[in-house]
This record gives sequence, structure tokens and C-alpha cells, in this order.
Amino acid sequence: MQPSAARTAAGGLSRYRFALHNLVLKDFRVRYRNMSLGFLWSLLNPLIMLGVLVFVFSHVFKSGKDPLFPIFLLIGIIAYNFFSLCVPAAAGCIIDNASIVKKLIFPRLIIPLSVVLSQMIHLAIQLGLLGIFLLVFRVPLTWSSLWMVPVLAVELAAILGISLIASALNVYFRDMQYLIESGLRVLFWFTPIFYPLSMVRENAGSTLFRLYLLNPLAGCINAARRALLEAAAPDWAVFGTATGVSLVLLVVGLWLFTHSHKRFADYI
Amino acid sequence: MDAPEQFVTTPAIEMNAVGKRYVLRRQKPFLLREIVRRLAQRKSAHREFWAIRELSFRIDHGESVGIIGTNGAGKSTLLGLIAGAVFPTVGRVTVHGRIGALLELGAGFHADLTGRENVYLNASLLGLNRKEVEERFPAIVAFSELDEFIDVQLRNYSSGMHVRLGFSVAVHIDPDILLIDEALSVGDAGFQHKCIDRITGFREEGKTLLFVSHSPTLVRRLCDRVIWLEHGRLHMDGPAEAVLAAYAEKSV
Repeated sequence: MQPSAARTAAGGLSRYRFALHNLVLKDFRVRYRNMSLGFLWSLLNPLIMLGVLVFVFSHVFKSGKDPLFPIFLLIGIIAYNFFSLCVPAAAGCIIDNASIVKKLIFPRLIIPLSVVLSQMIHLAIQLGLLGIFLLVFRVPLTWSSLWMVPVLAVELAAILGISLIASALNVYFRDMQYLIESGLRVLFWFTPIFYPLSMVRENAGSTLFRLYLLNPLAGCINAARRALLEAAAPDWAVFGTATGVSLVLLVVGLWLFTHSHKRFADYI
Repeated sequence: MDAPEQFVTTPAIEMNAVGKRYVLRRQKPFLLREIVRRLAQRKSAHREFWAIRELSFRIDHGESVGIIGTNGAGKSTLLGLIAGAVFPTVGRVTVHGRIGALLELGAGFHADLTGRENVYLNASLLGLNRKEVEERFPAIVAFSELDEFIDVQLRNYSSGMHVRLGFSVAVHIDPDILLIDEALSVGDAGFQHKCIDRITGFREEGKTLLFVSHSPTLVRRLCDRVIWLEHGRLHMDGPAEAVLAAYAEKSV
């Protein structure tokens, strides 16, 4: 038996709950302490993106005719934003915390977890913003809105999985961060943010559409729009794929992280 | 594992033919370059280095052991292996009891956080839960003598204050086995004295101590047994006086 070795994997996570809590707080304090606008950035960022996209698609392309188009956009923006903030931050997290990974013994898993959790605070703020938009546009909440819970869970699983994969691989290959930057730019266009998923289904052909669905954000955004704007249950062919892909990502991420953390201290 | 009776039969630390190999890289690894290298069938440009080889020993509960050796002898790697921050390439490291590792004082301290926030973060990463940190916080601040500055950002601390805070957290985590890496060579004379007192008290409580140092005086004062490492191998292991005498002779 090797208690200290077990402790550095995922074991004893509950004992390190308070450490996780403090890491999240640290992330938050470090980011906002020296900024005058602080929290407001969390709101300004999606609003600016929303403004730009509304201008382009409602006033330049004249395609966003639907009065609920801003909400349609905001759902896509929030989902993509959460992803695009978590994954690069997670990719660098082990190296950023090199001093504690080399010198302290605690379950390494809490480092990427703290990154995702602290981004969830921003997600909560942005979901609040979405709530205000729903009120302003008089979109009624229905029982179908509760589908948002599994939708968020599936997106979280996907993000956690990719974050774990990125944080582990980046220790061994320092160009992961650049790959992720390019990947996110590609993903922006392969995610139904400013267009509906139905357009992909109609125009791209069935093979391409099936490949497109491997992006779990597509299924999540589609299900969220149905839940909030159409008061409908998810389209299972679509959301089911997203759920499956997310679970696979989560399992692969956990496996990769717990099988590679032992050598983190040697490489950073 | 908490029962003292069990400690009589099980060692605190057991190293069994342990070896640790490091791969020395000339450059940081990049995925694309590695792929190109593999495709081109070029041999890897990395050299290997064994920081620890074929190391076996046993330390019982209540022993205080000094680790000496020249720079690069593998002392810090050894502490890292026992702490569990570094994993052995071959062999087995077995540890019984809760470890407190002072591999680096105030590891993870962040300049933008205040003294108080850093104490909470550091102590919790050392394995204390919320209740334990809150209970010990007043004692930690009192020991560090920094109560005036505890709500000031760490960027405004002097390096001495930084170390005092780090040491203060470390000695309040109350482990069964304490690993100390050169931690005492810093701070002013008064604070050093206080730290040594604290460690002596720790030893008198019957806890296990492992202490890496270049100072024969400190090792003599704190340890009964000394392990001398040379090029990652065990060179000599025995009573403090005998090993320190041999080491002094060799160094001259």
C-alpha cells in the first residue's frame, strides 16, 4: 500500500474539498482584484458578442428576422463561451501551478476541477443575463424549460472531459495551447451559434450532419433552444449523440488524467 | 493506522530497491516536433539520468534521520519520493502515517492574495479541512508574528516575512512524519531558533523526522541517525556522529 501515491491521484478528494474551494477563490480573486470593472466583464463579454452578431445577421445579412433572434443567439454564445473559457484555462493549469504540483501532495484532479468550477461562476452570471432577456422578451418559462438541467449537465461533462485531456497532454506537449486556440476558432464555425442546427441538417447531407453532431455543443445548444424557445423536449437523435460523446470524453479525460499525473512533477 | 501499537511493527518509511530516472530534455517537448521526429525515424535526442538508484532502507516511527550529501546527490528527489510528489521509476516506497512535507516553504503562495488568504490556501493544500484551518489560524498567525500584516497582499511582504508565514503554516499541520528540505537556512536568527525549538518539540512527541541539510551542526542537533547519499546511492547509514565525522573527513 502506498497512501501518499494514492493521494496524488483522485483518492481522498473529499478530504481536499476545502482546498478545492480555496483554489476556486484564488482564481477569482487573482483575476478580479486588480480590475476596476471586475465582475462586469462576465456580462460585457457576451453582450458585446451578441451586439456584433445581431448587427451582422439582422442588419447586414437581413436573415435574423425572428423577434427572438437575440435570445436564439445568446443561448449559442453562452454555451460556446463557457467552453472557450474553460478549455484553454484548463490546458495551462498544471503548468501554471507547477510550484504546488512539484512540492505538495494532494489529488491533482482538484486543479482542473477548480478551473472549471470558477468558470461556472461566470456561466451562472451569464445564465442570469439569459433569464433577464427571457423576461424582457416575454418568453414564458414552461415545464420544458427544466430540460435545461440535463442540457447543462451534458455540456459540463463534455467540458470537464476535454479540460482533463488538455491539462494532462499540455504537460507533455507544450503546443497543446496553440492547437486549442486554433481549434476553438474552428469550433466557433462548426457550432450552431448564429444559425440553427436545422440548416445543417437540410443543407449538409446526412454523413456530414452526423459528423457535425459529434460536437456535443451542437446537441446541447439545439436542446436548450427547443427547451426555452419552443417549449419542446430535446430531439433525441441529436441530444442523444451529444450525451454519448460527452460521456466518452469524460471517461477518456478521467482515465488519461489519472494515468498520467504521476509523471507531471518530472515534466514541469 | 493511527494506533501507536501498530507503529511498533510497521516502519514509518520503507524504501525497497528504489530508482528514479529522469529524462533530460534539451528543449521543451512539442507534439508536432515529436511527430516529425518519429516520422523521420530519428533517434530521440533525450539523455537519461538516474537521480536515485537501488536505494533501500527502513526508518521506524520516532526516528529522526538526517540526509546529507553533495549537491546533486539525490537528497531532494528522495524527499519528493517519500512525500509522494515524485513517483519511483523502479522499486517501492511504502509510507505509514500522515506526511507533512516542507519541500518548499509557502509552496503555492500567490502575490496577489493576502497573508490570510494564502494561509487558508496553503494549509488546505497541505490537507487540512475548513474546521482544522479555522482552529489553527490564530496559532499560525501568532507563530509567524505577522498579525499586523495578515490582511496585506503578499507582494508587499519581504522575503523573510514570506518564509515566516510559510514555516508557520507548515509546523501547524501536525503530521506523523515531517520531511524538511533545507527549510531552516532562511529567516533571521531569532526566527530560526523558534523553528528549531518547534522541531525539537515535534521530535520529543515521538514523531518521525527526515531532515535534509548542508549544515552538520543542525543535523547533529536534530538527528540521531544520518543517511549519506552519493550519486543517488546510499553511501553510509548509521549513528549521526559517525556518519558526520566520515563526511567531514571526505569533504576536507
